[in-house]
Amino acid sequence: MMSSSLLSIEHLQVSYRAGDRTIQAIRDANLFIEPGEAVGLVGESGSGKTTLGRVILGLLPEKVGFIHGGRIAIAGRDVTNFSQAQWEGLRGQPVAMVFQDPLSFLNPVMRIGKQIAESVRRHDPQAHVSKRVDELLEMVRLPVHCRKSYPHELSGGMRQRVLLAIALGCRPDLLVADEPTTALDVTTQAEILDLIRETQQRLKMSLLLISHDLAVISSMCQKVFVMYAGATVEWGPADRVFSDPRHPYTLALLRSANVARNAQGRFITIEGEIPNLANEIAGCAFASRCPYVFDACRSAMPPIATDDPSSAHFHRCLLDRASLSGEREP
Amino acid sequence: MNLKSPVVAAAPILELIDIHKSYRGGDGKPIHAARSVSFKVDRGETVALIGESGSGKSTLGRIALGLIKPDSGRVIFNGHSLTEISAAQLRAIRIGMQPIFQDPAASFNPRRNVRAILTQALLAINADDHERRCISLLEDVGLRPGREFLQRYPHELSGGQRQRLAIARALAVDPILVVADEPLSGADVSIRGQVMNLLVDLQEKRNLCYLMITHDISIARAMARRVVVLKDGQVVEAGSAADVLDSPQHPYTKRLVASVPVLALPRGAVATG
Repeated sequence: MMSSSLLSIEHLQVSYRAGDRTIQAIRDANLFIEPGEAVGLVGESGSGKTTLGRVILGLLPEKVGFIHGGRIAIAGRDVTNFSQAQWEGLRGQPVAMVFQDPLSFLNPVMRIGKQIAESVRRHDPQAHVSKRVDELLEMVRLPVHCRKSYPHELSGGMRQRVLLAIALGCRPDLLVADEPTTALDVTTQAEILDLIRETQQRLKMSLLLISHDLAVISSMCQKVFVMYAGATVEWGPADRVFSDPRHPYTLALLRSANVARNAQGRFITIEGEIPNLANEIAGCAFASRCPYVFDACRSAMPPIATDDPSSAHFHRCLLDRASLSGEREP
Repeated sequence: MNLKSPVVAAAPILELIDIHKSYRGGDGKPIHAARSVSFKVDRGETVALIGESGSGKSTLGRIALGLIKPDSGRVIFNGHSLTEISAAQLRAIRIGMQPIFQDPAASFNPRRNVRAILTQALLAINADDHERRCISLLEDVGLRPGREFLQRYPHELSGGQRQRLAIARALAVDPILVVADEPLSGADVSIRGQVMNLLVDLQEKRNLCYLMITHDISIARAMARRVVVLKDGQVVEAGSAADVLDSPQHPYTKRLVASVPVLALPRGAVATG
């Protein structure tokens, strides 16, 4: 991939050690983010999407999570084997993160204003801190008097705005948002997504939005990566991936995303279960649920393929386009 | 073809009449969880209570189950007024209505295996031949072969299997009404359809009624014949799911429906029918 990428992850493998068992959380992940781009990472539980988000900030749990293959580069620097001290230099700037649960991130006994000020001071010691805090509050559309509030006095949506202000206080080039609205009501979700979209465009920063919700991703992102059981199975421009999915999992996910019934009056679903990552998976992880599976799928992970190299739309499936699209007609 | 809940008898199975319930908030001011709420659920029907957090929908579910006493108003279940009977009578009648919770993992005792979990539920109705009943319940909810699940513990099941076990436990006592509080919000997209199909099948087979409590409009639209929209403890709009959700009248319902992000699907990926 291009060396100008802000973030480039190639063939990454991550595992967790749990007692005497090893869980392959990420079997083979690829992710590329260019400056100013809004990228979606979509997957279900166990897909490895949250682990991938943590890897980007060097936040794998120590002595439990390990990178044992592949490469991560941030702004052209290989950070794969960075120590915690080295990672410390990258957190906040160039990469900042907002989490699903703001309460577990915020300090419960410190006023909001002070928490935002800490982030400002750390990344910009010369800044006029108080003025900058007001600016940030305005940017996330929180009233100035919130400076004096404690986290528990704010609603879930307001706390998420505080998290965003803290992240923006670092002036990141890349904002990683892991399920930022999953815990929120739909009306609040819409407000927060609007806010993230607007700030991302105004500040021309890159966004990695991690979500299980395809509709959220499609409304926010130009590019999308689809993960299943630890592997990125398809990626490319969001409109292409959503309109012309090339991996049976993406197709199945799109079909079941909008709650709809098929011609027989049944809700559309994907039969079977997400595989247990504690077990060794040979080949494509979706093989056990895939309606198009054939023998070769089970022997080795399919290579990265594309129908059109100029499209930047890639997939990891052995099936040719005709077989999948033929089946796509109802 | 109407695939949604068929109506067999007109008499409501559950009726909430003019329910009021308030709590004292942290600042001493009352929080109104229910203000003059009335709705009913007919036999074999699915009704969805929709609203955001703090709308009072979960409190109403608990009032319907007789787990919380309302400040005023009446709850009538299957001809019995829950608000005017003794605790012992309530316990007996309550067997006819069973809850399913959002997080099945948290609702099981982790030290009990599947057999013990279901057997405990069966004790409430003095059932005999527990093992055969357990196996048949497991198979009814798609955990097949049922015998192989008996010795397993909740943590050994996948999320989807745990949700099925929660449904099996609710059905063990052969209820008429199931009150499901966000039964699908923890489920992955690829699993969700399986659970919804199961709920629909069980409804048809057992003539169940469902009171579904959900914040998810697409699930309400797909599962319910009627919906009740709650805001700050009040019903702002109620009616057939199609009427209310496709052409909402109240500004709040309009905003709620408009806030749901819509996924444009590729041609052919949408089901017909």
